[in-house]
Amino acid sequence: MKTKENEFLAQIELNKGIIHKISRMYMDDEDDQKDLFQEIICQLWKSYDSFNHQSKFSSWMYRVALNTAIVYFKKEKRKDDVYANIAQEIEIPSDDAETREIQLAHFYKALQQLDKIEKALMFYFLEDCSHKEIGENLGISEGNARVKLNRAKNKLKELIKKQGYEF
Amino acid sequence: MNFDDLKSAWNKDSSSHITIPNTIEQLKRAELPLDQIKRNMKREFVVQALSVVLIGFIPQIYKLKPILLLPFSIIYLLFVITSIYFFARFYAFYKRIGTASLTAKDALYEVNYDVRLNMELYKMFSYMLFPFALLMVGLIFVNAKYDPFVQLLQSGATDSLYLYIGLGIITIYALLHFATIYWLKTYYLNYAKEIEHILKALKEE
Repeated sequence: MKTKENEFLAQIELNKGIIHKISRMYMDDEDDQKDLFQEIICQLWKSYDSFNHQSKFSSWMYRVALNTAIVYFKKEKRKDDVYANIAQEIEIPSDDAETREIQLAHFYKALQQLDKIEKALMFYFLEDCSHKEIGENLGISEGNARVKLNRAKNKLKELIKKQGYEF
Repeated sequence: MNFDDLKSAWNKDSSSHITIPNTIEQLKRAELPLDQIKRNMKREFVVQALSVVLIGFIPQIYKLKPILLLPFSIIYLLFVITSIYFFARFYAFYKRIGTASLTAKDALYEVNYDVRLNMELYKMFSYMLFPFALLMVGLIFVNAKYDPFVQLLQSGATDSLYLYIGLGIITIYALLHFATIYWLKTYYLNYAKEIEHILKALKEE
C-alpha cells in the first residue's frame, strides 16, 4: 500500500505544476486554489486504480483534474477579487520573467470570466493538445472542440484587451 | 501579447515553490458536493438504523395493550422491510458514485444522474415512511385513550373522527411534501442545476 502511495506521490511531485495551474485557472482566491489543489490530489488518489499504466500519467491526470475542477464549487464566504489590483501593478517590465508574470496575471484574471468548459478548452490549448484530443477528453466532436476553442480564445482576447493590455 | 507569448509564459511558469503533502492522510479535503452527499447519507443511515431499533421497543416503552400487539407487529414488519429495501438502494448508490476518469461530458452526465436519482430516492423514502409513522402514532394514541376510543367506535358517531383523521393526513402529507422539497432544494437542486448548466455548454454547435 505504501509503495503504491509513494509511487503516486512521486507522480504528483512531477506533475504538481499542472495541478497548480488548473487550480489557479478555476479559482480566483488563493485559499480556494489551495483547497482545489488538495481536492484534485484526493480525487486523483481515489481514481488511481483506474489509471492504466501503459498510458501517460499526465494525460490521465488532465481528465481527472479537470473533471474535479469542473464539478468543484468554491466556498461562498470568499468574495475578494485577488486580481483586482493587477491593472495598477502594470509597470514597464524589467526582465523576461517579469513580463511573463504580468502576462500570466492578465491571463488568469481574464480567465475568471470564462465558463468552466471554456477554461478546460483553454487549458488543453495551452498544453498543446490537438482539437481531436480536446474533443476526446471533453466528450465532444473535433469540430465542436474547434468552434468552442476559437470562441473561448476570442473572448479571452477581448477580456485581456479590456484590462488595458495589448493583445 | 499574443497566444504564442501566452503559451511560452504558461510553459515557463515555475512550479518549484509548490509543495505537496508527504502522505495522503495529510491532505485537508474541501470535498466535492458528491462527497458531501455521501457523508450526509452515512449520517442519515445511522439515524435511520437507530430509529428502526428504537421503534421496535415501542410496545415496552408505551406498554401496549395485548390487543394492539398484532397490528403493531404487522406495521413494524412492513416498516423494517421498507427500510431494508431503501437502505439497500442507498447503499448501491453510495458505492457507485464518484468516478472522475471519464470524459468531462460523461462525468457530468453521471454526476447529474447520481444527484437526480438520489433526490428521487429521498423523496420516495420520505413518502413511504410517513404512513408507518402515522400508524405508529395512531397506535400509541389508541393505546393511551383505549376505552374512550372503543366507546366512540361503538357509539357509531365516527363521521367527525374520520373527517379529522382525513384532514390531518392531508395536512401532514402536504407539510411533509414541502419540507422534503425544501430540504432537497437546499442540499441538491442548486448543484444539479449548476451541473445541467455546464452540460449545456458542451452541446454540439
